[in-house]
Amino acid sequence: MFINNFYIFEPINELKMKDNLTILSYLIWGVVLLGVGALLNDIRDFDTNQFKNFISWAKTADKNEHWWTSKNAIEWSYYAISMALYFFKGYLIYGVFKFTAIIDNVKNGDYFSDNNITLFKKIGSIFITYAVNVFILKAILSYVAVSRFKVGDEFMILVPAGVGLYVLASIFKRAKELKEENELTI
Amino acid sequence: MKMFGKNSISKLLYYVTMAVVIGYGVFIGFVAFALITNRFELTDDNRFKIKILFVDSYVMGALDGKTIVVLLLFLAYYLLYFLLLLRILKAFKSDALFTNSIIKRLDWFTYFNLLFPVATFIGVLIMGDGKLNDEVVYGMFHILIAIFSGFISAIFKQGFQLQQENDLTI
Repeated sequence: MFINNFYIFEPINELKMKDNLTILSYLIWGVVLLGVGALLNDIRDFDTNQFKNFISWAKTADKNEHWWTSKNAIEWSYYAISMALYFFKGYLIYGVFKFTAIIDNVKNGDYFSDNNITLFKKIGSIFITYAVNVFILKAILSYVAVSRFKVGDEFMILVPAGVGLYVLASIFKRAKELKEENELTI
Repeated sequence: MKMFGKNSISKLLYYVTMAVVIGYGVFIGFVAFALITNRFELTDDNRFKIKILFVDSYVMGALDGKTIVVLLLFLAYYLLYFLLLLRILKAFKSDALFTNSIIKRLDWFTYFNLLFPVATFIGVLIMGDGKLNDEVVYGMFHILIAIFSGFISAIFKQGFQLQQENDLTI
């Protein structure tokens, strides 16, 4: 602690910080690539298996049946909700990807900028939007498919994480005000 | 709504986390009590099965000392984890943000997150099957949180320096 306060050690701390940021950046890229891979795999599975069944079923559907209660409507709902879920998964990956922009800003010494504050808020809103929408879609899906509805882990983790990111945005805002005050005083 | 201080979102997050800590503490106490007093069902393959109250779910595992110790350590780890998170949020709900104590709390949280992959690896070695499946994903998740928390700690150090400079100037 005492040693770290010496001016001579500042460049070393700066280097350590940059190294950690590089590791964090790589990890985020890893998470993004894994997420994209998993999403593409899900979409491929959906197309090759479920969509084939859906088309073949649609050809043999009973057209005299009422549209809303018909299997056709249920199949369509299932298809649309699944597509919406994939879209939101993609949106979440985009949100995680946005972290790399914050890291790049910090690497360039741009700690408490308006850009970072906006990015934190944006990622927070993406997390919350994803969690709430997926919660609603899964509830509808369980109603349509007559299956048991369970609150997913993503809702329990991403909503507090999203709110936490809003708090972080405010912390950055407070620090930015401090920095501006400091610069004005000098 | 305010982010810090009284009647803020930080305070709300603090109370939500406190509820999680209390609930989790009760759950661990319940599991430990059931294991100590032999209040569990025994399956045909000699596994214990503890029914969780109010939920249609069970805690299951092989009935041997190693499994029980690893299970209790795992549960205790997350209790401590949420306690550390609670301490960070407690600091967030106060008006003074950039203090030395919050930096220390963030550092502790970082180290504690890094402990998970190490502890899991040792746990898998003790358990003897030598297989890492879900543990790798959870380990990666904790490493990611650790680095992010370290990043936030470094940001707070910058803020603390600014605060000190500001206070000195005034």
